[in-house]
Parts: sequence; C-alpha cells; structure tokens
Amino acid sequence: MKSYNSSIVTKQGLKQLIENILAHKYRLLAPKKSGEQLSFETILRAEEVVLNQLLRTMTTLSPKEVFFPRTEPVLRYTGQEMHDVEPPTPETVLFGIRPCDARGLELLDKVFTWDYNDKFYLKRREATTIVTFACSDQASVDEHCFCLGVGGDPTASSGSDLLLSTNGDDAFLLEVITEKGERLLNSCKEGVELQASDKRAADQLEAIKDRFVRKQDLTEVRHKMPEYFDSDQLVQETYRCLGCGICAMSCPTCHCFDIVDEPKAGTLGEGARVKNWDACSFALFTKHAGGHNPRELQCQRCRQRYFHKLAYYPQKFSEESLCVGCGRCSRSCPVGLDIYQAVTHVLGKGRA
Amino acid sequence: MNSIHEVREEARKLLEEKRVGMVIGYGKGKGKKNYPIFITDPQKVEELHFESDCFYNLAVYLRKPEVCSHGKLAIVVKGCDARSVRGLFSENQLKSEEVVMLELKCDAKGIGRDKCTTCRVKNPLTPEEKNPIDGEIAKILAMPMEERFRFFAEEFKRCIRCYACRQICPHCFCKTCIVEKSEPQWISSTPSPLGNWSWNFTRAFHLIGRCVECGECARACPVGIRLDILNRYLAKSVEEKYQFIAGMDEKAAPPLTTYKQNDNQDFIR
Repeated sequence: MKSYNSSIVTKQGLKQLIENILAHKYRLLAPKKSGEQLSFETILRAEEVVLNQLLRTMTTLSPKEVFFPRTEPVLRYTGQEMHDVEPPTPETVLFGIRPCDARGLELLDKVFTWDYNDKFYLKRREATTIVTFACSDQASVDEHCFCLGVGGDPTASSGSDLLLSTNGDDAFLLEVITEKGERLLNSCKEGVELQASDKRAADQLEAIKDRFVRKQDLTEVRHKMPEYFDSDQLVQETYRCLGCGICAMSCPTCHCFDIVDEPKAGTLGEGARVKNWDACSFALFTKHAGGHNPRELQCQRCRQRYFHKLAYYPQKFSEESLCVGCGRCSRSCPVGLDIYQAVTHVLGKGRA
Repeated sequence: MNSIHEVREEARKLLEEKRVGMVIGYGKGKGKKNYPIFITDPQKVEELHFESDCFYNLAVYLRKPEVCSHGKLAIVVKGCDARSVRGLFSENQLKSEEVVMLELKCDAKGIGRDKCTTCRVKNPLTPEEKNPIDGEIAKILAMPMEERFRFFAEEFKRCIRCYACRQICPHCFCKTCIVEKSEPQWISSTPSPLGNWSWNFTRAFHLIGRCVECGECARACPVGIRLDILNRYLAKSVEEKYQFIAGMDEKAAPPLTTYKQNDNQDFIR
C-alpha cells in the first residue's frame, strides 16, 4: 500500500478536523467512556473524543461491531411473505481504532467475501473511512499486547485510511494511506493547519518494540499446532475455562453468528430473521439436534478457538493467523485464560 | 484451617489416601496473577497458594463434568465459596459426603464493582450475622421508579449475551438454561433491549434466595453491568421476609423452592 503523504497537525488542529467531520454530517464513531470502560459510540460533539484516553486504553469490545453488529435483521417476514433488508449505511468515520483492529478488519474481509459476499458487512465497510491511532503513546501497549508475535506492527498502516501517531507533546503526525483517506481529509481540512513532514509512524517502531512484554513469535505455530491437538498439556492449560463467550465477543476477528427468528410482539406471523453473535466456547455451538455434541468438554471448545485462530484460518486463507494480538480476550477473561500464554507454554514444553 | 500450609498438608493426605480424586484451589501464574488450579498428584500440592487476591468463587467448578469425573473432590473455600457449596448441598446438587471443604479465612479487600466490599463471611466458619450497609442498593432505592428503570435500561443496553454471569455462577446449574430452550422459546436470545431485560431479570429472579452474594457475576461481566446490585437487593429482601440467608445452613432449602401447607397465600385471589 502506497503512503501518499504525511503532515504534522497540532492538538488544536486535530480537534478542528473532528469538528469538521461532524459539520460535514459524517457519522463519527470513536472510543467514548461508558461506565468504567471505553467503547465505540456515536460522537455528537467534538469534546466527547478524549484523545489521551483513547491513546492509553484499549476498548473492551473491538470495532468489529461497526461492521458486524452484535445483532441485526437479515430479512423480515409478514405471514408467508419475505422482505429483503438493506443495512443502514450512513457515511461513517471510524476514529481511533488501533493498528491491530485495522488489521483485524482486513482478515475479516477475507471471511465475508470467501464463498459469499456478505452485503451487510461489505456495504458498511464501503461507507466507512478508518482513522487509526498508532500505538505510539507510552501507555498504548500493555502486558497483554502481542501484535508483533502474530505478524502485526503497532505502527502499521494496513487496513487504515488515515494513520495518526503522537509527535511530541501536543502534536500528531497524520499520514494519508489511501485515496479514501485523502478524500476525507480534503473535504474536512478547512481551518486545519497541516505542516508537511517526512516522518512516518513507523519511525517510532524500534522504540515501541521495547514496551512489549510478550515478544515470542507465533507466526510459525500453525505448522506445529496439529501435533498438539490431543495434547494433555493443552487440556491442562484450558481446564479452568468456564465456557462464557467473552473471548469471542471481544475479539476483533471472531465472526461466528447464530440465526434466529424473532417474532414481533403483539403480531401474528410478523417478525424478523436476525443474525446474532455466537461463540465456539458455548456448549450449544456444536450441539446437534439429536443431542450429540462432538465438542463435549469445555477444553475441546477452547481448543477449537485457539486452532481456528492459529491453524485453520492460516491454512485456509492466507498463512496469516486470525489472531491479531490485541490481547482483549485475556484482558477480559474472568478466569485469566490467555491464548498467548497457553500456546507458548504448551509449545515451549514440547510434544505432549 | 488457619494457613495454606495446613491446607496443603490436608490436600496431600486426601490425595495420597485416595479419599479424593482432585483438589480444586488457587495457584499462581508466571504473571504473578492467581487462577484456579486442579491437582490430582499429591506431589503437586505445593502449588496451592492463597492470598488476598484469590477472589474466584471456586465452587463453580464442582459442576463441571470433567471435574466431577474425578469422583470425590476437595475444594479450597473462602467464606463465599463455602456458602455456595452449602447452597449446592441444600439444593441436592452435591452430596456432602462427596466434597471436602478446606476452609480458609479471607481478607480480600475487593476488586472493583463492589466485589467483597459488602462481604459478611470473611471467615467461613463464623460468618457475621448482620448484612453490611449497602450504599449501591440505597442509591437505587432512593431513585423514583422511572429513574430506576432508566438506570437498568442503561445497564442492560450494554449486554452482549456472552453469558459470563451464568457461567461463572455456581448456582446457575441448570443442564439446559431457560434461555437455551427453543420449543417454545421463553427468552429471546437476541441482544436487544427486550431480550436483555428478559434475560438479566429472569436470571436474577431464578437466584432469589439462592444467590450467596459473592459478586462474581458483576466481576466477570465484560461490559460492567451491575448485576451484583440486583442480586444483593433480592438476597436482602429474602432475608427480611423469610429470615433466610442462602448458603449458611446446608440442610435449609431456599424458601422459594419449598412448599408448606401453612404458607401465607393471601396474594392469590
């Protein structure tokens, strides 16, 4: 991907840019404090975007929800008649996602265009311009982050349209990555002072690398994983899994869904068929109508998630793993399970 | 028992003499965080560990099939875990002769969302009588009805239906949860306002008189829904109306699961 140009913008300039985005009637989504955590919400006033906060804290849930909502109708029915549903697709700016999230979207693109073009996902992708924040702040990387180990990069531009990174105390570096990004910037740069620069976010990579605690490389584990399918050590590592769906639902790339019919209350024969997030950690996920469950135990369900991330997806699609190392699953797991630790422990110990 | 050393010694004996097949306890990971561990080898009891950040309610593992397959079990319990285990005895989910409790006094200071701050069972053997004053409940009760409705609507709006609240709860032991029933469907499995209200309130109602107020549901919730407030309030109501505290007496069944000829039934008209 070609880097078009980069410029330095002050904090004030960035605020102006956000105001212009809102003035141009884009729907702006950015991390916003909700209760005790950050989540992607619709922004109505520029002050709602708290730059310091979004540089330092990662959202609990990933931005996949912008394209693949937790629930959405795929068709509506009235009696015997069925009606197509068009996803609402306002022109959107998704602001402040991380490079790992942007990469996650590129991996999801492959899934949602593989044997069928999922219009719900694709139309939203088309209508959305992505402004990513590189993890250049001192506090952007925490002890759960391991993007470097799965082929990612905390300063990477891939999957983004515009890339922001910190540049000293009160300024940012703004890189135009795609034509879509350029269009957004051109339409919203009024009153924003942009000072041309030859710097890039990637210049900071070496310094940022030092902040990572998790440095082990997992890009090659796909070749080794099959040996460990029946490993007792993997069972030991995942024995405490309780089977909730936090890991899958907070993951930027987990994409399994369930289809259910939701009758409309107070009507007869009216309703919608909806697509809801599902998770392979749920016992019901593979349970057959006849009662048999091929993944009877929780550790088998946990194994499925690890294998899908690190072995099956690379095998099927691109040699890249489906895990982007954002660390959300381990940050939120209520019993401290951790895909990085489990895999590095098991593979580090050798053949079971 | 007073110390983790005594617990390790007892665990070793139990495993060596084959009086239990597995010991459930706390261990320490590389990252110095504690997590649940499962010991079958008496040589490994030294891995058992206990300090103030051992906040999990381990009783939830007593219903996992892969754990149960080890036969009789020993479990390290703090006050809240012990209440859960006794609650499971009283509801015939476990037989007291099949579980050995290794009790430890807990001095957890709480880890957010009020877990542990309203605890009255720091010592599993001599629980305190009084329910500590609960500021969060008082705040909700002070709200007019519409405001309360808005409070919970805002909370439940965030629910993604990951079911962590159910999975982490020792008392959500139904083989098939009501939300999984589809013929007919009782609760919408869609994370919509309607589905989320039905799910979260139904779960709270099912826990009336059974919840031991360990706070694990709120701790586990990835989107920070204050399920603990709802459950603690219901527990308080049961205490006031039936003088019953869940999990204190392993022989006493929860009031809403029992029937007596002289029950006051004047609400039926």
